[in-house]
Amino acid sequence: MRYRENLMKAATHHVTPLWVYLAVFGGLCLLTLATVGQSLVLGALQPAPDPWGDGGGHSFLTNLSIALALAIATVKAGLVALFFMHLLHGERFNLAALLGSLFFVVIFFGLTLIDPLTRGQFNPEEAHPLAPQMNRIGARFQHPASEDPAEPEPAATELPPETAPVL
Amino acid sequence: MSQPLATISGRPAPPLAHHFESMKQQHDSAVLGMWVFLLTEILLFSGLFVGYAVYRALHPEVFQAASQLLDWRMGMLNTFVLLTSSLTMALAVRAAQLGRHRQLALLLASTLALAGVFLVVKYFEYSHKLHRGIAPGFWFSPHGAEAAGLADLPYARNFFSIYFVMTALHGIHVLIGMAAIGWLLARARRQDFGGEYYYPVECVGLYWHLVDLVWIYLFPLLYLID
Repeated sequence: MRYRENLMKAATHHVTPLWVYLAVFGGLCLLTLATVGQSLVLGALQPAPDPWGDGGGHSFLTNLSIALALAIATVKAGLVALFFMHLLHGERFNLAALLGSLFFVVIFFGLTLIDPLTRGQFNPEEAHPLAPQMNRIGARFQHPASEDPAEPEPAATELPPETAPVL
Repeated sequence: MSQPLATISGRPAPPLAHHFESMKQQHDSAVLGMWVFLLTEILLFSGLFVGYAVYRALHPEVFQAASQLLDWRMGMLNTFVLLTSSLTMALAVRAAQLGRHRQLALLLASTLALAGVFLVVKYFEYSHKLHRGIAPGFWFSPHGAEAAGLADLPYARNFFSIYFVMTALHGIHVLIGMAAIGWLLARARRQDFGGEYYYPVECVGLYWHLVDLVWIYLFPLLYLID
């Protein structure tokens, strides 16, 4: 009977107060400024991107920037899902369904990225297969934001011929 | 089983489909169905994000250099536009719950207008790139002072293919969302929605927030690489 009564009750839904929506929106805007800010600050702390460098991969600061950006984006996504999409006060089953799909997304990312993220652990030359090409083209690539044209790197001319790229 | 004769603003409430026990059950079923659809959307975009992650892990320097061609100011502007449209959409659902018809129509129209602003900004970004020959895949032939170096950057083509496919698929979702919001707007002007019956507004709202969610991840991952 309880089940039946529950089904027959009037369709009353939780109405979120206006101030909650406005506060969540304010939080989302602040977090957007935060993610832009961390990118500008961490970007200014390190030399400009150097595609013709030694091919050493992301610097520590760039990895930190990626981690911060993803953390901030996930907090923003959580705010949108819990408040704008009514997961906090709505049916718990919808939340369970979402978490279930995110579980499979994690498997998807995890199993796929095992390969590219562990390249070069046994054979360092595999880590950055483009590095010799990058050195060569570095002389010709001009960074769009930089005022001075990039100086040709002496290392580019010292490359053994067998590493010359076929572009 | 007789249902009380509910009215919304003097108009008869929409009929309860015979296979549902109550308006609440009908509402919850529709919302759950929308969520299941959104989960498939999440998995669709996950595939693209995984592709992004694989290429970035293999060619980090290329992503850093190529993304300098994207203007983060435009991306930030569009982020604020989409966040505001998400707010107006959430408030529209609230107005529908409370049976405020004029407010609902106004908020839906605002959401529609903000979606239009988003697409206009996107148009300027796309044309800026296409004029410099920065196009996806086969059509990638950068030229001009700003972009010439890209032609020699291996895998820059891949970065911009990923950029165009992800933002274009997102843009298509914006267009579909605009069509759905336009349909809601027409129904809102007929005063179709009220506290008992507003699940169409709720479901379109959920879709619109998902479009916002995808952009929340796209913006830092494409524009803020440093």
